[in-house]
Amino acid sequence: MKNKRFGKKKEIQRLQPNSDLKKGDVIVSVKNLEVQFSLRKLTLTAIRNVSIDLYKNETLAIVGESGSGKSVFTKCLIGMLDENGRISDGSIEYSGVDLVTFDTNEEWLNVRGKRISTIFQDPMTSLNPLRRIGSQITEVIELHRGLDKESAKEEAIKLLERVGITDADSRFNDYPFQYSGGMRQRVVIAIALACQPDILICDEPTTALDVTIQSQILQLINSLKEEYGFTVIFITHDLGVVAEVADRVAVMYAGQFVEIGTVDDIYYDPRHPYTWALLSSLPQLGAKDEELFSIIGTPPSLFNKIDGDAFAQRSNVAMEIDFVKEPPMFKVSDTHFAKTWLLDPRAPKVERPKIIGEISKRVADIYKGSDEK
Amino acid sequence: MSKIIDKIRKKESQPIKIYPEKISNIDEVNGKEILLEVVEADVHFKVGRRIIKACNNLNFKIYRGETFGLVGESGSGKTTISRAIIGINRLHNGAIYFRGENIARKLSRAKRMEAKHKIQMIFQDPAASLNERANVDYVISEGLYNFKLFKNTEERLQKVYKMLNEVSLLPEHLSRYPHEFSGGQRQRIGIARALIIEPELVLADEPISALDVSIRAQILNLLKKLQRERNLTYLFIAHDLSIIRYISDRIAVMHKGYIVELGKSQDIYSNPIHPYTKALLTAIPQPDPKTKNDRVRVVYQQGDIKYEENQFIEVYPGRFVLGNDELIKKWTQK
Repeated sequence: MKNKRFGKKKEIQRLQPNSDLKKGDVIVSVKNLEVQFSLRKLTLTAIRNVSIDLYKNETLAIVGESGSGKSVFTKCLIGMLDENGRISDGSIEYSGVDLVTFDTNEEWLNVRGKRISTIFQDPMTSLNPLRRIGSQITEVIELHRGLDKESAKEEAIKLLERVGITDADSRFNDYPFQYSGGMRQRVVIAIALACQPDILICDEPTTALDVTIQSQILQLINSLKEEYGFTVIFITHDLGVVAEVADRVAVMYAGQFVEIGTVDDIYYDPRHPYTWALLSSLPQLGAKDEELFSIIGTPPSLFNKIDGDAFAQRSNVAMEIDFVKEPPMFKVSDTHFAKTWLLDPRAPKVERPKIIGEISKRVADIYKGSDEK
Repeated sequence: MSKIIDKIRKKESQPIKIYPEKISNIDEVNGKEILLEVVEADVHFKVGRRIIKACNNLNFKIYRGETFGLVGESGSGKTTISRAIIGINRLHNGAIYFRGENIARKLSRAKRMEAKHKIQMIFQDPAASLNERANVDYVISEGLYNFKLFKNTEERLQKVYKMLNEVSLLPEHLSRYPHEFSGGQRQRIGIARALIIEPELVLADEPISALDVSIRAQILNLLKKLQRERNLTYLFIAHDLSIIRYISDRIAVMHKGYIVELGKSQDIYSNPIHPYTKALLTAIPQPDPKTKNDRVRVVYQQGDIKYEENQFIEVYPGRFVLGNDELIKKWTQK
């Protein structure tokens, strides 16, 4: 509005079409991203110098404890940072534009919901409880794809059927409360898919659901990914779910990716002590008579500048340098990177916890019942 | 409330079965001491004209010193039965024996207090279950005040300090308020609050599902440690099968208000009998990427399995399945 009054309307940056990208091409490239929040005159650095490439039609899972910055990272992609937050450094290349330079809502409208969609944890908070399911889906289709009412309805019913809602025709005019939790999440997925997005961000989509429903929703997301060819960013803290859905995993700690690799890299050959700790504290893998590994302490406060490795305070294999100098991202293989001084050639050899090498065996034992003594 | 229940009973014209006030608390089969025994328990709610049968014909025993796991999806009735055990929900039919005494009937004040004292609860969300206006000192010693378990302030503080130490909190935390703590610390306060009056049975209703991944292991370890030291008995409620296996000795699987299967936790995992249990087990995501392709997901179709007509049958000692002879034969064949 302001711009209009002064007669110089800012030109809206146009996104380039990227339908010619093939599977495995870079679709989003994040470089040196830094996000800060101002809280009570203090500055909190939620994302600290993060770089990652996102490939077309892959599923990237971001794992980490709460407050590590998983959600903040994805919110940068859709311009939904809270009022007091800002991207203070870095760039996000997407379809020929840098998303960091966007500052008006109009610019974001071309991206948010249209090219990049989000599914949140609790479906009830994403749906309007006072409006019928059908109108909530057609709204999106009419707005973003410019279809008329009739064809939007047709399209919406098709979508509802695709996400597994039986007799979508008759349930089209139901209200959200008439749907069960799993069905509501399916509706939210249908809304997210209504514009055939490039990227689907799933922010803990199954945490509020039951195990059986969870596995159905995960399967649905996976099969839709194959069918529509979009890219999925999956935020979760459940390492079981990660193994189920992900192609690549990024482990996040205190606003940084500490380890990035394919699922096999992360589960069978983890390198960062934090990844070790996460994996070995899983109750699934615990044997009855042994104590679970537990991580001591709490994550560092992001209000202060963090010297060295953020995980050093809680790590039992920390070296002196970990408290002084921040480790760079070491390359383990073409797909596998870890940010720990342990990978430096000068570092002493540190044995990783025994449990890491036994994951497959322990999971198999659960169903064989052989850890009973 | 009792009037409504009487009305419901009249409507269904169900004969009211009388349960003995006292039964033996020693299991005849294995000689173990039974701390809690639930017999044919039904919990019904009346909503408008509808009657919701939240728990139907539940039967289970919890032995002293063990951890009994209750799993099921949301709405399966697992919290309802635990609330019936602490006396919040009334039983429509059936009995709950605690140390051999029926506590699901009208009790004298002394006995009611005794039951309240010896059965304590740990809640899911420590942020919601702690009084945010009270400091930790009061939160933890509230039970001591209620049951007058101390002679003077000195003795009370001594007990509080000892408890704090056991859950790895520091004495200086006492003057703080619950909101000043992290999730894991709050759950420790919740545990300290429940255990300070030395209960025998602890009902833990999803005590770790609201916690962060890195904290879960700490709390599970703490619960196990306290169980060893104090010979506690846990009723552990969870919807997450992966956690319940680690902590429980025996598991009951609930579905739609019925216990469909009950047995030793290893047996349930390695040899599930009821198709619902099978479906539940194959649905757990395992932290092993290799298994995702070979695992066959079973989708549960209740179909013509009518829970209300089925019996709770002991397939072999200690292993119960809800079904009839024909069904169990079919399920165990493969």
